[in-house]
Amino acid sequence: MTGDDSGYVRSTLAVVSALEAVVLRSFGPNGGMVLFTRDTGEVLLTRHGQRILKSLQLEHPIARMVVDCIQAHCTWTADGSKSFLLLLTSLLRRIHAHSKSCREMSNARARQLANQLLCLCHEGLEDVVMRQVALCVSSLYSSSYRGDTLAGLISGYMAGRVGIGQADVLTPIICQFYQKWNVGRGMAEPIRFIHSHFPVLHSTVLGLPIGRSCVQEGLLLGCDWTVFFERKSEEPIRVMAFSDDVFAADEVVSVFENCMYDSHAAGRRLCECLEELGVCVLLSPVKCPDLLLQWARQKQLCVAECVDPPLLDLLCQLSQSRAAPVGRVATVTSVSRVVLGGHRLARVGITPPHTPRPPGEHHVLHPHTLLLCAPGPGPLDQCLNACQGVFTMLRSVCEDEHTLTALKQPQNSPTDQSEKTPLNPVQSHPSTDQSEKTPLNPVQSHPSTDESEKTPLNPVQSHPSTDESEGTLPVLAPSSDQWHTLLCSGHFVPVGGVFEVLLHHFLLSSDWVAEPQVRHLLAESVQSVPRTLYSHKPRLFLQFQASLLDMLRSGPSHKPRSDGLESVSCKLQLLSSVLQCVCKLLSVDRVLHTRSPVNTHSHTTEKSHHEEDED
Amino acid sequence: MSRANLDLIKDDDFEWEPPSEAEMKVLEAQRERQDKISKLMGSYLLKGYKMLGDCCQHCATILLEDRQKNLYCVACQELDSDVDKDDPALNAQAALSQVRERQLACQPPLQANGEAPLCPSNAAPRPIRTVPRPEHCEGAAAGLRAPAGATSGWSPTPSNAPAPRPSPAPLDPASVSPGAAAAAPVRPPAPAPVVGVMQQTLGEAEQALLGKLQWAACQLEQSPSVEASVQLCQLIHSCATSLRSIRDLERD
Repeated sequence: MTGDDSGYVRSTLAVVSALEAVVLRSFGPNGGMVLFTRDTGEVLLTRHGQRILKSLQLEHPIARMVVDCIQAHCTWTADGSKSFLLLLTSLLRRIHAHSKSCREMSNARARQLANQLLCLCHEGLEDVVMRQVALCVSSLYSSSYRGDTLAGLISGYMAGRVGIGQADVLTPIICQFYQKWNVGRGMAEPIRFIHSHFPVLHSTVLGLPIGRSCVQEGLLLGCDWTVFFERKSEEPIRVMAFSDDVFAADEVVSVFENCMYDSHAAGRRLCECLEELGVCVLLSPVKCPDLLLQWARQKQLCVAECVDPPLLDLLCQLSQSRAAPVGRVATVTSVSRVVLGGHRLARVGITPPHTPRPPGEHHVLHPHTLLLCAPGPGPLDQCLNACQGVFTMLRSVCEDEHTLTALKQPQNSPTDQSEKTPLNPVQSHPSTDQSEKTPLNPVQSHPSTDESEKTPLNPVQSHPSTDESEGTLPVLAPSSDQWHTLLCSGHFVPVGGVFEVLLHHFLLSSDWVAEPQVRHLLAESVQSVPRTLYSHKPRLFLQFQASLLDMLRSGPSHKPRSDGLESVSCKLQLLSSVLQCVCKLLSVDRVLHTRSPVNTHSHTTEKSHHEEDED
Repeated sequence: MSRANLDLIKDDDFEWEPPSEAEMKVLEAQRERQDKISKLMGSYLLKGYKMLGDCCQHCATILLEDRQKNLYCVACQELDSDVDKDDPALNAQAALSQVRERQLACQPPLQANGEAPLCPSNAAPRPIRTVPRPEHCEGAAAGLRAPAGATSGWSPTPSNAPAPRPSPAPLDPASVSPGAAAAAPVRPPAPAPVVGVMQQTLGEAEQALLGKLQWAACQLEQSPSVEASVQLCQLIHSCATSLRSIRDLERD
């Protein structure tokens, strides 16, 4: 190595700083948007960090590595791409400043610091966050927070993703959508369900203002009816969901390809079959033959073509369909058409009966669809990503081990819950009652994982006493009381930099965690996020910091607040991802540029396929 | 990195000394420069430029490529070319601005009666009352050709400075570097012009020039700065030239 060894760290810092400068302008709820244009005239208007970074042309290997790290992080938490870059830049800047003084081995010094930071992340940071920061947050904010906790969590997330204006519009819609799916105590994993089925549980309409977004009862098919007759009868409606290959059967294909006179016979046979089954609605994943459409018009049936196959599968599962010769027959309660301006969408309603179900029987889901409107493709894409990201974030919160530990406290009886008020949550039971259980066993913590693969929509029995006796952790979607319980235990913190300021304070005072230089480095870097939030008026950040530290000394203020919330576990995950990325970046000694393509997985796979073909 | 090298970086063996004030200033300047480069690169990336994996050979900044496949170094082609205009070693206007700023900062206080002390012989040098904007100094940039490395910094005029010589030495125009109509970086307040007959006007102009000459001579005696001295010499030369012109007019 050469005498002055800081070239790699300096160039890495330069790359990361440039990426930071790109996303800095759209950071925070008051951040702006980026307008991308193509030579074809296509325009994209967005403030989504991942989208912005993916739209850049980056050939530098360090830049691509950083973008890949951000993408991997956002796959889990669906948030934090810009915060990731801010933290990463701040850390690298400080590491570079520290390592520059060691001229001959500055790379090694930087790597040593990165390793020490990673050790801090693995061995002490979690304790500082969950035992000090979370406890402090719980004491400061749990009694003064008013309003729905879940709404606060969604509002805090959406404000950072789409801005305050759109967040005010979309937050109540998302909360309503979640509540529609979270019915009954027996409802299991509504968040995971919505997250996994989100592509079919939403529809989009272009050209309308965002305020026209709403929650529609039933399933929207994403297209209009090809043939539609309004049904006023309240009797259940039988629906035929054709399979993918029903019109591609050999006999039918040969009939349609070769002999015109036989096509009528085959088509007649199909129609007779449908008439025997008594179906009134035909849903096809492909285009239907004209003969079938003609017959449907004669019989006043409703037909929808080119329906998304996953949506058909979901419809069949929700309506408890049965197999038929040409597909599956499902039973629904209504078919209708939704009209929004010039757009028309087909809707199929599945309303559960109002009769009370006996205890222990599964609750029937009442499906609803999230309808998102936006004036242009860019805002629509942004809203869609944000709404999907909400459920990804909620899923990561629900599946976090600390949340599971907090939620595994014995459920209260219904009478106790009815007596609870939002301002007087039931105190969590001490951990001595749970001493026989293994606290954090990821296998046991997801007992419904196997069940969800078999019957994704059958809710798991949620009787806590039964679950406790088996010693497993029930994976329940938190009820509204449980969201508030999580808030009271410090798992949610108000947005705006509270977490970062508290972490800075506790890191500096936690002598037992790591060396002072390392703690100081991380503590100062963490503050770069709130500093950037208040960059338009730095004095506000100092005031905010001073008032928070005053609260730490003097006690919580009783001023009620209902601002947005963010998850402490997501913040911890972000820090962990950033520190791992720093370690990864600084573990590189030298970058070699090659002229020939490097062997990658896809390359070797193609090569093996080619060899098989040759054989 | 071998274990032996890592062992050398043990914290207890690693003696780190905090940087001096000069080093801090250099670090701060480097950081500011790097921030500017990052900001410029970010804006170019958003405009569609491609970030390459290569670095500039001159300044090691990461290279960008535009849509026409032209390489672009933000530091060399944009930042450094802008910085030159603010560098006093390279730009005369910048040197004038810097001298003026330092003189403003070191301006001695006025006397108790509100009047400035008289120059020359038995009193302290006259303080500067009003300082014109350097942009109004016509020809200053053309007249000033500061050598490389010349600094415009100078120590502030002490209030108990020794008295200057009784009379300034007569000027030898030949010894003064020729130049265009140069103006001093600071000038005392000019007397209000008086409309009158030509002789009276010329007389008054002569008096004003002599006063200016006297003042410049006092300033020249106490100026420790090369830059300021050069400018004062040029002022003296201009005043002498103007005096000769006035005397020629009077003779005519």
